[in-house]
Amino acid sequence: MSEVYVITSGKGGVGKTTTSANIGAGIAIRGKKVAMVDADIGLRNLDVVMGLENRIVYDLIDVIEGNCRLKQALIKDKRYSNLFLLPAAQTKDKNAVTPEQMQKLCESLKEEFDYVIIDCPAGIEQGFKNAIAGADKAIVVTTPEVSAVRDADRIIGLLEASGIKNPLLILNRIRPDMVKRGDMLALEDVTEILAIDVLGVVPDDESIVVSTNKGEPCVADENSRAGKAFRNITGRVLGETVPLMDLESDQGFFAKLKRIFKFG
Amino acid sequence: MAKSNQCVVIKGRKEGISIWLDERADFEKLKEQLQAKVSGAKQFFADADANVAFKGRLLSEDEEKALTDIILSETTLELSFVETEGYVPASAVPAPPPAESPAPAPTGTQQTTEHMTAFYQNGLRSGQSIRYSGSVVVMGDANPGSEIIANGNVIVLGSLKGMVHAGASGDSKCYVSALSLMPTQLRIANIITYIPPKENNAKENKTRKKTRRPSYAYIQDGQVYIAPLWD
Repeated sequence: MSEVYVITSGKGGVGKTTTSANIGAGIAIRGKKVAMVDADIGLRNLDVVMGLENRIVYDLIDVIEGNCRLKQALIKDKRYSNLFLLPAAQTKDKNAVTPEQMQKLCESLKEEFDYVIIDCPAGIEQGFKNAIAGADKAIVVTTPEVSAVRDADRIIGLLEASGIKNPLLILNRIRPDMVKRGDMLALEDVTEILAIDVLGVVPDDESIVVSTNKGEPCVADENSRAGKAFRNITGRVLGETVPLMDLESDQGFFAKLKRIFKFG
Repeated sequence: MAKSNQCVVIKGRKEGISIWLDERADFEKLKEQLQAKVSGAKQFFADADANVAFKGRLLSEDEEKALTDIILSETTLELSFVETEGYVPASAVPAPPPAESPAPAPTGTQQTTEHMTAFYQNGLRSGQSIRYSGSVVVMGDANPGSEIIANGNVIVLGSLKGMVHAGASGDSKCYVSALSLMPTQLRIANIITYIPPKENNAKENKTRKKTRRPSYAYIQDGQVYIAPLWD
């Protein structure tokens, strides 16, 4: 049984693409066949984050318009042989695709792959409608900021209205020290408003910036705390029961260093 | 209520004129019948000033306007207030229950007029709104960014954090009640207010959240008061 997940958030810049890349790579590491679809047409990023930019020949629009076969447009990842990317077109915009076409595309991807991960664009317009059209399940990414939580709430309402029930929540970029001081929304504050199940909590981690710029998902990085969080999330997507990461203890190298300078 | 070929029934009541509309009839047919009835009963509409209520059918704003235009063009009536069963946005309220539920008046406020009540069985998320010509009961939270606009009272069985407007048609006897009353903005009749946060500090807000009790807001002497539902 293959599943189509859409990674969405409403607000931009909360980490949809990073989350998509890491969950995609995470599931591929676990031996499943994964296709990642960049639905952010006109502002494609997923290929850059995956370090596959220079391999693009055909894109999603080419597939939809019939300029090439689906298999020709799918780019095989350079690290994991069972991970594929369907890149977005950079020269078109969101109106070049209809929800029906996306649905059809997802159906054909489902035949080939165990998991399909769709990276949704920010906003609630055409691009969002296209991205969720073919999805069975949704993962809502938010950061501990009131604006991001507000947008996530709106998105959850829209997802439920279009028949995608029980979306899952990823709280990204949390800083335990700030939460402790009461300067940042805690997970409980966010779930109190959104009232959906939590798929994972990802700590704010400098290694994400490094890995994103390098085009290497940090999920494979044993030393990265965010990487560990994404490995846990991957496990939960695959149906395992993994307890939420303890954000207080076992801090990473940078955090440790910071702590030494701060209190030392 | 009506013969099969009659899809418009007009009744005079002490609080105004009530026009019953068949919910299955074609809207164009409704308009024709209304036109015929109104022009044939001009004496009935002799009042210079009246309330008109459309019953039996949900109307969109455009439809409501079309019907009031017919009445206005055929009679000398001046409509002081038009009430409809309410237009409801796509995702919102199921059809209201036929029985009129008397609004429970909390101690300390005057008995409010009776309203039809719509029950909404889910919470409201950001961007979702309820508009209703009577009272509204929401069984869940009304999140920030949501809207509840009712001509009657508003009761939220959860935290009320969105915008709320009770007595939207000007009835200042209406009230708003919630298990946790923290609306972004609170409107009753034509008064607009908000609940000021005690401290603009996350820690303070947290403790405030926990101590918030079920309460209700009402108007007295032109001012909005908030009181706990019980002591």
